[in-house]
Amino acid sequence: MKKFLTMFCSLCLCLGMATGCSSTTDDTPADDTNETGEIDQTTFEELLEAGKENGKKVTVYSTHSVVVSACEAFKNKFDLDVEFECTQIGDTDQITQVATEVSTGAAGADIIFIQDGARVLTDLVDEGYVVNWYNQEIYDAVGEEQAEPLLVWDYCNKVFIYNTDNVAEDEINNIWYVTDEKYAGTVMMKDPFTEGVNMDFLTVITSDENAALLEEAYKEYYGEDLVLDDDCPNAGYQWIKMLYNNGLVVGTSDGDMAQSIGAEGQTKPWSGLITLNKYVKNLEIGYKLGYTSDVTPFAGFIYPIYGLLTSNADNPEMAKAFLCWLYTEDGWFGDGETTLNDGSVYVGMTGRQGDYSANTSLAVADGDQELSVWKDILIVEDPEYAAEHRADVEDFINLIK
Amino acid sequence: MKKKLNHLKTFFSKPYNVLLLIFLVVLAYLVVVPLFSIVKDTFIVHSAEKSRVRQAVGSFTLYHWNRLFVSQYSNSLLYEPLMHSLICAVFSCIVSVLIGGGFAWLVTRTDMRWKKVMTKLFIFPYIMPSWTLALAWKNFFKNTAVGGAMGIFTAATGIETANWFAYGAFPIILVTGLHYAPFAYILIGGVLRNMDANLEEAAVILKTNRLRMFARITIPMVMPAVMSTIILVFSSAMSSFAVPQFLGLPVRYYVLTTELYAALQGTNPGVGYIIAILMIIISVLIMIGNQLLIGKRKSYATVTGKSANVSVFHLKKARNIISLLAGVVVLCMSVIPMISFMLQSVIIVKGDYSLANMTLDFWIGISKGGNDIMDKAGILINSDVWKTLFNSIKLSAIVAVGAGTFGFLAGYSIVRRRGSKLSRIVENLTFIPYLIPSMAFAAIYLSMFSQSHGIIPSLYGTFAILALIGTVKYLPMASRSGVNSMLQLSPEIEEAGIIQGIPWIKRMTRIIVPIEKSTIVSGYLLPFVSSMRELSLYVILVTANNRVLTTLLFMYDEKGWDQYSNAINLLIIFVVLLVNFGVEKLTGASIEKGVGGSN
Amino acid sequence: MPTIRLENITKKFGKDSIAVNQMDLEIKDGEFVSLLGPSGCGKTTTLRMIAGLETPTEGEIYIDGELVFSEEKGVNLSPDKRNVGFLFQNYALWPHMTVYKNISFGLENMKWEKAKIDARVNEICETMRIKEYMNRYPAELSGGQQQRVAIARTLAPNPRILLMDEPLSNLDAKLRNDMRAELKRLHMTTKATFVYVTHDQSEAMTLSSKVCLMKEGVVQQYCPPLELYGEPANLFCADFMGNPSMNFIQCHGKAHEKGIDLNCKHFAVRFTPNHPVDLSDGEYVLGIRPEFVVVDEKGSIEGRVISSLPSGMETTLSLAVNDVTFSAVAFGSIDFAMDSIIHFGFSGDRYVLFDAKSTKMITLGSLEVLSV
Repeated sequence: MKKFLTMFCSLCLCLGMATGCSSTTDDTPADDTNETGEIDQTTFEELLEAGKENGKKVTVYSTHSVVVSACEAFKNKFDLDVEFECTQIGDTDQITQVATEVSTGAAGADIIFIQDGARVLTDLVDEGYVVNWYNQEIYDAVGEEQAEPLLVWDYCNKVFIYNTDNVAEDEINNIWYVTDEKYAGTVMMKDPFTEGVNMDFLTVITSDENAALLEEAYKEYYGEDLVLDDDCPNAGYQWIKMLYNNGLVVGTSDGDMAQSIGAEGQTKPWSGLITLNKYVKNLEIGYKLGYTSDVTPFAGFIYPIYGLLTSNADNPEMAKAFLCWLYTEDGWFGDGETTLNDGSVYVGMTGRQGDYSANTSLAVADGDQELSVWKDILIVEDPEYAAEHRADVEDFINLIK
Repeated sequence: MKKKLNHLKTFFSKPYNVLLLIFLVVLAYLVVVPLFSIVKDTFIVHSAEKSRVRQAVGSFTLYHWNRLFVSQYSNSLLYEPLMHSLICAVFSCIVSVLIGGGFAWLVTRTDMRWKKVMTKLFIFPYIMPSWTLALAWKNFFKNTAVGGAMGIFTAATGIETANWFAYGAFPIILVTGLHYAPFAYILIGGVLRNMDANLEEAAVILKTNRLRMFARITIPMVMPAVMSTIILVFSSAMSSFAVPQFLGLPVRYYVLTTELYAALQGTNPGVGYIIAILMIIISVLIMIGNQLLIGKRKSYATVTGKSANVSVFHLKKARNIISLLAGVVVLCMSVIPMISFMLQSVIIVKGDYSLANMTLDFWIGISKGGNDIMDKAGILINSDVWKTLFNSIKLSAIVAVGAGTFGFLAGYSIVRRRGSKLSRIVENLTFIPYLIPSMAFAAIYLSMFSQSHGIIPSLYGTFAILALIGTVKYLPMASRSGVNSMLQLSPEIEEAGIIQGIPWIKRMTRIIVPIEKSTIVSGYLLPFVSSMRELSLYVILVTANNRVLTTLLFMYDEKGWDQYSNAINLLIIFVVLLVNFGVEKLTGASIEKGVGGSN
Repeated sequence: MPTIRLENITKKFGKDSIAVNQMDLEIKDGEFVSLLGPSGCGKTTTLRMIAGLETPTEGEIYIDGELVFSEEKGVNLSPDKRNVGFLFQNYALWPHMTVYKNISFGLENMKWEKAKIDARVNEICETMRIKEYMNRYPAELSGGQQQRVAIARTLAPNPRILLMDEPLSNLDAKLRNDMRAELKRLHMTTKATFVYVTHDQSEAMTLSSKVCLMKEGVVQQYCPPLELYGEPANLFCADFMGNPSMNFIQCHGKAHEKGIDLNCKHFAVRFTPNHPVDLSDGEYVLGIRPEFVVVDEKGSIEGRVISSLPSGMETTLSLAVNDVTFSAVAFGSIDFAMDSIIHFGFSGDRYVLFDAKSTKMITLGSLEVLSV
């Protein structure tokens, strides 16, 4: 009888749980942001001390691999007792993971470094899962434009790279080339459905302003006025449609695509929108690659990697301190002596083309161009515009892909 | 009242009744409730969908259903991928049955050469991860459609493969079919081997010619095995994710699973949940169709007789050619993929297979102090890989012990109470996870266990959720073999113990378990191996902190680090083979037996 | 005239295992021959070789005067060309076909006309009393019904030779008895040649016109069943036939003019052969069928009852004479108390004398007790 009772109780319990006692815990976002207009005046040293005092583990997610190394370097440099757990996670995974962690109160990230501003805004910031924080030090280094609405830590750019065996140096000079029959089936881009920044780029070019530029460029390339298809509201959409219809090859990795474009012994005029960083890396190991920054009306796009705090961070002070440090000379380039856990010296972004600190006082790598130059010739991600219109563009592509 | 009480008392004095009740409750929670949970998820707005649905998160909406079924997007989101999935699944079945069944016939009924070696190698693909052949296919036949270096085949012969040959439906079908051909071989071969030879002899005596006998006697006799194979392959092919992801994406050939993955990862998970439900419905329909087709009347409970010496069919002149042909196919399925992985894991610049372009750096190179994976230590001395490997083994071991133990206990109690309603319900419950495609199942668990339920906290991102889903998903395998073996064990054996007053625990551990040792070990081995090479079940549940080898491989492949993904693939195969042969040597249990038992 | 002739047939499995060893056998038209022996004696192999399902290693087989197999001449007719019917131990009914289809399948192979097939199937189903099951599947039939279907299927094409491999072994006792009578009736009506494999001596006894008793691939005796029972060629034959089995008594013989005096352990008897035969002193085995152990008040040998198994018609007894046990049969409905002492003696001339060394039968004769 006793057994039966236990059984009965557990059955009830299960049914109870099943029928939806899914009480979602109300999150109270840690409200130490600067919405009041006043900038946080705590200094790096204070944050570091407070973080040590707090003592809890700092968990860091990043789409950028350098942050993972920086994490180790930071802990080693300041000889911290606090545990750091740093993991490289892609943007889509990170959004799902952070949203789930914070909303359910599960243990997880304190600070995240993430790209794809549109989804970060709608999925994470609007829901209160992450907060945009900076102090005076950071604000002074990056300025208003890069501190709001999301704090930028690093910029990455994607430009048109091509196979130098089959594409002449100044052959690619107008963005409409991707719609040219001559290049049918030879243009690559990372699948916008798997990497959001690409979708953000495609969204931003459908803005009235950019569409106008595209329309102009069309005339320049084809010598006639652009006639829009019925399903294309403007030249931005028209470009996307023609890009896809011309046999766009979507890839899953920039590195892989760079190698595909630059492999020796090919006959097709391969080209694609690839991160400059991957271009340089593969050029160095012998792939036949070139890139161009002279394209009408824009030579690609540039997107930020944001540094944001989660609203339920266990050790927010230490996370903030780490963020501050990343904007310093030591954090960006390394100090030449701090080592990583595997014994090698932390070099940060030293010599790395295609990464640009939001702190513009930090020099870009040799051979690269200044951030301001890039911003002029590339489409700059506009998270607010992209967030508002991205679903439209996604659906548009769903129809034509 | 007293009478009722006594009834209850008797009921609960039987351990198998208690077990059945526990299984009923637990499985209802782990299998049935999730089904309701996922239905609920198709009607609400998720946070990623806010900007497209333009409603508050969590509010009721019909947006997903509308969008998937009757919007202008239905075609690209649903109908086309559905067609592709069905086409791939159906043709994969045909390939599996033809190749596996044909091979089974050659082995059991003809004087083909090198049978022993070939049968060992033929079941290799089953032990290997499902994408193994897809990866190998890419290594061999990669063409210029996506640019870059050509595959080994083109590098060696100079012939460029056609697009339809290198990517899309054709290779997906072929690769999936070949991967599951061992199923067909094991199941159909089992029937052919155990089939009463007299049935064929009777036909010979009655002057049946060879062709007619094959068509009218042999084929119908193996039909049930063929049907089991078809169900198995069909549902596996439907739920296969890695293969279409590897081979379909380059030519934008989407199937339901890739669409499901994209939906869950992207900005419209609600649509993904509907796709998951759809996949479940399809496999249930297939199951029902099968039951209707093999009606009860034609019950194939073959009277097994002494089928001593089956007369072998002499291939005569064709013997060498057929043996050679079969040998080539077997090599293509087993050894050659391995060679391609080894090659791909040592070359530096892709497409250049000269010795000068080879290095062992990706295996044992020391860290170069950079940030990218290329600069990190080779996989054999990389602590991250070791951590992941350990995690994989830990997960698989837990899943194996869980599924194996519970499966055996379920089998035991189901058989002991056979005929009762309770037993039937539990038997059906244990079978449901089998019908739910892996990724759909993962989607359900993702949706259900990311919130806390009463005393159960949110399991999102924990190791526990992986262990839980693996255990439940592989429970059918173990419980099927448990049921089958318990059916063969006469209850008198246990009753002899009851009469002597031996308590239940002791009866189990001292009598039943030792007798059923081999089945139990098979019941552990199969989930272990399956879990080691599982991707679609884990890929959307794994978070960065508890990666397993398969998801690591998937990540590497996505990023285009071919050397590492090939090396990891070899590592997985190595571990699985090691465990498989170790267990086989120690206990005599084998994967083959497990597969036979699971159906 | 379908006569089956086996000449010097040997069958080896692998290198060392010999299933049938240099067998000669002639089965005449219309006979009902049983191949009898313990399991593994080669009887089924022999049957399958006749059918062509098994290929002999050596020798020749003739059916109806036609050479169907010869190792030397390289002849090997396939089973479908030998015109035999074969009834399998487990019936080998095709589970995916109805009874009707099972029976008609073979006729279709022989290109019979549809109407003729239908008529024949109906006829044979009538004969076998399975007409009402024609549209059922084998799994829906009882063992006995399946058996009938199997017979019907085999008989449908009117084979002149019917080979049967222990067809009754899967039936229960009652059904088995019924089917025995049925088979005997079928043999009468079809007038075909029956070759029947069994390990059950009473089945062979009751059914056949001739029994071929085999042991380890060698024919021990080939003769009508009663002859096999009464005059077994050797100890093996004597022991195999009859239930309860024959009593064997080891004894030392002293030959004289009239016969031989046998000195057994607890008694001595004089054995008088029915026909004159040369005997010498030596070791012998005396074979006494239980029915010739005559229980009689006046019997000179005393035995203690250690078991008494009355079956109604007769009672089977085990009697202990010191440490030697005798089986005996007492006719009539009688029972004996355990441990009671009874007397028995010998009468008649059906006692068998075997040579202890060669185990071969020497002669039949009568017994007379000399001393106890």
